[in-house]
Amino acid sequence: MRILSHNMLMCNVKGCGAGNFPLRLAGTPVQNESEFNQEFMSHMYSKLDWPALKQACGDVGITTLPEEPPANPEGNQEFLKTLHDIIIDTHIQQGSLTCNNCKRVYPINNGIPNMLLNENEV
Amino acid sequence: MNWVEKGLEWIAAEELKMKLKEEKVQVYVDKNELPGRVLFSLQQWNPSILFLLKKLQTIEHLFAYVGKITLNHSLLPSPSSSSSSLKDSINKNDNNNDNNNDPRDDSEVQVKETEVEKQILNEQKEEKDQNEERKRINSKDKKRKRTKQERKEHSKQIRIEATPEQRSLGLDQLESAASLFKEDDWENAMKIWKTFAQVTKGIKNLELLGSPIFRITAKSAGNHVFNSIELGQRLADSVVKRCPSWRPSAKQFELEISAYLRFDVLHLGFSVTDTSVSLSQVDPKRNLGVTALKPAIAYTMLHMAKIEPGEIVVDPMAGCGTIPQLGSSNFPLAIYFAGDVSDIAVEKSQQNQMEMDTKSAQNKTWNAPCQVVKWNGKRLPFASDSVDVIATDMPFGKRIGSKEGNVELYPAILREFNRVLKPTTGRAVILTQESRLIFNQASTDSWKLNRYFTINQGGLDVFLFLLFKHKNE
Repeated sequence: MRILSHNMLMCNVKGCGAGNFPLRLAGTPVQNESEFNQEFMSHMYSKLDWPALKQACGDVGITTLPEEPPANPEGNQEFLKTLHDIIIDTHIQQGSLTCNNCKRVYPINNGIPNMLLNENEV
Repeated sequence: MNWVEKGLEWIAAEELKMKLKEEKVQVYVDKNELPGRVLFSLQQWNPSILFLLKKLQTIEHLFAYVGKITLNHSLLPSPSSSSSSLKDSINKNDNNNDNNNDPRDDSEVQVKETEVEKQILNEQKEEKDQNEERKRINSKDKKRKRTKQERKEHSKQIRIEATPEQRSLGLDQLESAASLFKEDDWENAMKIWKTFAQVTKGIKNLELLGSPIFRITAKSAGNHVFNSIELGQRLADSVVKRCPSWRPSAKQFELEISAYLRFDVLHLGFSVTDTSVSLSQVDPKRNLGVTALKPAIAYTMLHMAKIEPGEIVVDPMAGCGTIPQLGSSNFPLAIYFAGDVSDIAVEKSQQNQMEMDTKSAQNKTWNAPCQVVKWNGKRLPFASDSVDVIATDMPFGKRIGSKEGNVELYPAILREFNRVLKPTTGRAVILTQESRLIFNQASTDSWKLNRYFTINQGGLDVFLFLLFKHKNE
């Protein structure tokens, strides 16, 4: 599961309201190199939740994320390349996502998060 | 929305116009004359254009079109019936379907059904009530449940046999059919085929190209005085008559001539593709699910959604992931999620995605990130009002799920779609046979039905819907 995906997922257990995003991330980050696409990264930048991204990096020990995005982030190629390395190339193969609010644990196996809820959670 | 638009010719035409813009392409669609086909002409022809054409996503085969001629002795005289009653015309159409020389000819079935639809819709033109439309779909389903036995008996009553004179007239006309095509048309088509033969088949000897070994593949629509075997044989004879140095062979052929006899019009084309073009754009080794979609249809759905850069595209019932994967490579500036409730589907999806990602990394190309997730479509792990596009192939209730189950499932799923989609700009592209269930939801205040049409998928009438989220439920 990419760090990018973590940025979009939340807990949907019945009754789990405020605090269900972002989820806490656990696991060992793995790098899978891929081509850098500036156009994609500059469009994707504005969709990112920066605090959630910082939290995820903190949770799994990624230190390369800058504290604050630079001025004109969409045009800054170096910044976008660093961002690409983190959100596109960094994967969690085995680990988990945990809800801060209701403490529900969603396992990640073989890079696939299991967000399937039980009968009593819907 | 009186008509039910049918068929995918429009998407092939759009793709051609888009991808051959530089070549100033002209595209013609005539669903009555050539259903399931699109004619296009270019100002010039060279190998690089052939390579461009081979990258198209929505077409299966390409031909160098020679032209069309009329064979007025080929048709079986129709049974005398000037009855204007609806029931009779429906029966006659069913009858024609049975007597069709090539029962697998989808395009003929298409045109017959459109005519039936036209008659029904004309009678109801005054009523713009959607309920009436749904009743029509209901009754069409019931009519199909005639048993094979009943249809055979019915067809025996109306069938007319050709007289020996009619047959010999028709067959004789076939024997000289090839010679009826204009010299210029024939030469132009040959020129196109020769480029293909040199480039793709590796035939270098230009002299050999002038006298190719050929095979005829004949399709027909309508009732003729001869059968399809005779049609193929006589057409092959007529080609040799026109080009004596050409030799027919069923197996070791270089040139495949495609003949399409639609009622009394014969269309001829020289094939310039060996395999399905749209299928060759995807990995042949990809893991397929139980009801895997044809790539061309998945592409059509994504095209309908008009995906913008930076958008979030979700397939909540992805199966083996055909739709998000096609998005990942063809609309690569968005981000994709492929989710399913089944373990096997999720595994297949992941394998396919990893294959694609590995290949991209090796070839140093880019494809959009696609995350595979295990989830239940009724309960998605996305915040409300956060997703831009939902594109999915919903269970028909035949191979997956059940018709009864769908009555509960569809409203629940669509409610969840509505929750996660952004208001106004958020849209759902849905492929399903359960048109009634979608119409039910679409008629509520929370959705705006933008467009829908039917396609023929393996003999089933399947619907494609484009719905916009109007507001939250």
